[in-house]
Amino acid sequence: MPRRLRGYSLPSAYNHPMIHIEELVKVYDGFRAVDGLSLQVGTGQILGLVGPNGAGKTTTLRCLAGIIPPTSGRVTIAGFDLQTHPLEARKRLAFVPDEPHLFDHLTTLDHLTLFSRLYGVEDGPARAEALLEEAGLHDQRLSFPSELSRGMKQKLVVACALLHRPEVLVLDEPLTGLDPAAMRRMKRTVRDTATAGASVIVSSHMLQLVEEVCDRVLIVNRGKKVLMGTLDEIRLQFPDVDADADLETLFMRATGADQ
Amino acid sequence: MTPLLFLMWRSMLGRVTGWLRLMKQPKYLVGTLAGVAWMSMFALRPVLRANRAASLGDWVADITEWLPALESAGALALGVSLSLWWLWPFGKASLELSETELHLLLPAPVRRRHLIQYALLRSQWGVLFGCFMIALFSSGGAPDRFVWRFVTVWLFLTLWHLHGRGRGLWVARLQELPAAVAWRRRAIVVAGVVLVWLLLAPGIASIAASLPELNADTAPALGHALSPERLYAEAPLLALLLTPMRWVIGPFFAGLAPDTPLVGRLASVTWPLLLLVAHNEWVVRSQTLFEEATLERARQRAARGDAASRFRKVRQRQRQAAPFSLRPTGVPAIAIVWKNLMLAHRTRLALAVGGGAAVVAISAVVVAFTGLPDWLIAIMMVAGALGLIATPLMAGHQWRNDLRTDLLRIEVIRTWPIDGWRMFAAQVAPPAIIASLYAAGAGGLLLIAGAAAGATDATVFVLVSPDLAESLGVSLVTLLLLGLATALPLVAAIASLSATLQNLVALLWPSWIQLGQRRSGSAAHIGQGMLTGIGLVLALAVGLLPGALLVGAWMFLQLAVADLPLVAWQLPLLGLTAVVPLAVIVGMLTRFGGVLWDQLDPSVELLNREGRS
Repeated sequence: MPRRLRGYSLPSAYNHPMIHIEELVKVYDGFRAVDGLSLQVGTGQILGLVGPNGAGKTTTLRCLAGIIPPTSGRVTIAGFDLQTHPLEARKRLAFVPDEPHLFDHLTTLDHLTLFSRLYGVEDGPARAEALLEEAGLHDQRLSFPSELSRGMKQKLVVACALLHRPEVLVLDEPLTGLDPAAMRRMKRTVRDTATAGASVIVSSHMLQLVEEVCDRVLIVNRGKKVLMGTLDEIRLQFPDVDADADLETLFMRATGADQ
Repeated sequence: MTPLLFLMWRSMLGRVTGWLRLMKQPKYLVGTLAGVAWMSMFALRPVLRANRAASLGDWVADITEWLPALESAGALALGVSLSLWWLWPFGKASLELSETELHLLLPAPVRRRHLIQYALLRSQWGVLFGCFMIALFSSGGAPDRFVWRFVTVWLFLTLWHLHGRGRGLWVARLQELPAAVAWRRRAIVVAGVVLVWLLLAPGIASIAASLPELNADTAPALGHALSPERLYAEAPLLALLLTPMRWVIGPFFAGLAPDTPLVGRLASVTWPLLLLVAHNEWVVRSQTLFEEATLERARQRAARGDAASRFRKVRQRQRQAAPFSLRPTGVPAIAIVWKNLMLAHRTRLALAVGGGAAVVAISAVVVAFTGLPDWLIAIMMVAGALGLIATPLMAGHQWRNDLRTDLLRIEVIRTWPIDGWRMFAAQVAPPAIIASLYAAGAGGLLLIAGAAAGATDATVFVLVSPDLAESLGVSLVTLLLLGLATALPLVAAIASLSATLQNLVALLWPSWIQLGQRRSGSAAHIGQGMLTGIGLVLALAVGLLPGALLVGAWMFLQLAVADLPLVAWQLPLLGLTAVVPLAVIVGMLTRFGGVLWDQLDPSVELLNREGRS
């Protein structure tokens, strides 16, 4: 049985959401990618964001990370509105995109040095060393991205994201291209980050991962919220499904993909 | 072939549609209109400027009497180039196809020759654009001249391109043959080329010996000496060999001669057209295995875009070096300057400045005693002056370690907690710093040349002279030092302006900007260069004018009103006076860039951009 979703009870901190999205709308090129999406994620919570291709998951996360401005709606990070207080919000946030975007000319250590200064991490050098050790990248500390495997790059991106101890961690397809061992490490990292008090949103097509790691699930389709809640809460929406139906079954029902 | 033509047609339609969709945004519409207006100035020059100065088109029209000589020389140059080309034993069987096209089209039931033909037709976009630009800039606004130049340049470039592809495929084919056969064929070609030129040598020597001395009145004599009739009479073998070359370049020269009738012009394109058809058949019927080489070429092109391979060669020790130490706390924007400086070089800034100054000082002292040859001083002065003037102007064009590279990582940099204007300033600073350092190096060269000039009786001086130094009551070296102190802040301000404009363009028209380190000669890139060039000239005019007025007012008050002489020590202060308005403009543009950065929506123009790495 997945560790967290089964019988999970909301922590008390849920009353003070670290991530608050209200009626988010994003339209580009005449296409309504996100259509009035609202959600909240409390301290220490992990929210799984799932949906079919083109459902608006990545666009939602990009709006949440301040990469693209929303057409309308409001995004708040740790109580700071992303539109009116972008710097305060960004200081508390870390975003791991679906592709490990790194700077070709910077070594592994350079990346962490850069992020230390950008986020003003006082113990930056020591924390960088610790993260490198933890990620198994110590031997690659002077390697350029072109000399790293896909998994190593992903680890480095995550290390950069965790360097400033973010209060909100946003991961877009974090397991893409990882081998089984790296996947297991990534899942542990996500859980540990939440246990340490951060709010986490994970977008993924790997429904087993979401089921295993996340406290709650948000299913989106065509930019709109379809269902949100714990696995048990979602099951209640479909009285005809088995009592132990997995997320894949529920996802198919919720998005109409099984018809 | 029909599906491939359909693919070409749809690709073109897709590009045009994408371009038209961009026009919905006012900023792209304004940019296009500005570009079109600028290009129209060339087409409408005769109308716009009744008493215009001689343009390139007019100059070309005035060289009629040189045409016979130029045509022969051109044919000879083409013959020599082609011979050397064939002597070079290496070549790749690569065609201009993208990785996607290769992966989709190679497994498809498409005939081999059709695929090669498709690749050849696809490469025509670049050729056509090149012809358009050459015709536009050289036709002086005359429509008939434009059309003829376009056609003849197209014929030449297409033939050149086809010949290159054919030769590449032929050489690559040798690698597929047994070694002995391949070497035999190579030997035959090389021997053939050498033999032809050995046979031609006496004729060339005879013609060369009869050439008149070059001066303003030798055009007719030179034309006669190199006329086809004389070549046929004196060196028939040479004339025969040059005949196909004349066919290729002949139409272009026919267009230059104003009295060539239209029928004559049209007749002149018959042979090149036949050559073109023959070349095309030669290439498309090639049996060389081009697939692997083409895929490799496509991959290399893609790899050049992100330049990742370049950094693998950096030595381990160098990987620990940085322009300066970056402490974990402090102004966050400095981290971006640090990062982007490293994209250009990892040399420590203090070492570059201190070491450079020490080298200049020591060299200046040494040459002050030893002196240098006059010609070397002249070269150093010209190079130094050019570097000092051109480097800051070209800063934004030459170095791309700014937003143009960082926009590829928009998902990373956009999340950084930095104000818009600080982000913009930090992006502009690295190219400006590097350009200023290079300009300072050029200034150092000027200083060394000045020190050497003091020790000898040098006669060539650029920017400064002993007379000027004497009139200001200082030595030449002191004047050069003061001149550098005056110029360097100005250089830094101009370099900043140049980089600022390029980054503003990147934020205003992201879809038009080529991202990454690589500069290309694509149509969009040339258009962008033209627009930023105009912008830079205008901004410099606006920025320098107040400074010039301030300096002028100061001089007027000092020299005419107060009757105080100008002293050399004032120069740096005058320089700073000129810098202030420029700095204000850069500051204002930086604020504007910050606003653009804050308001940037990269959804379509960057994140969904085709080919984003």
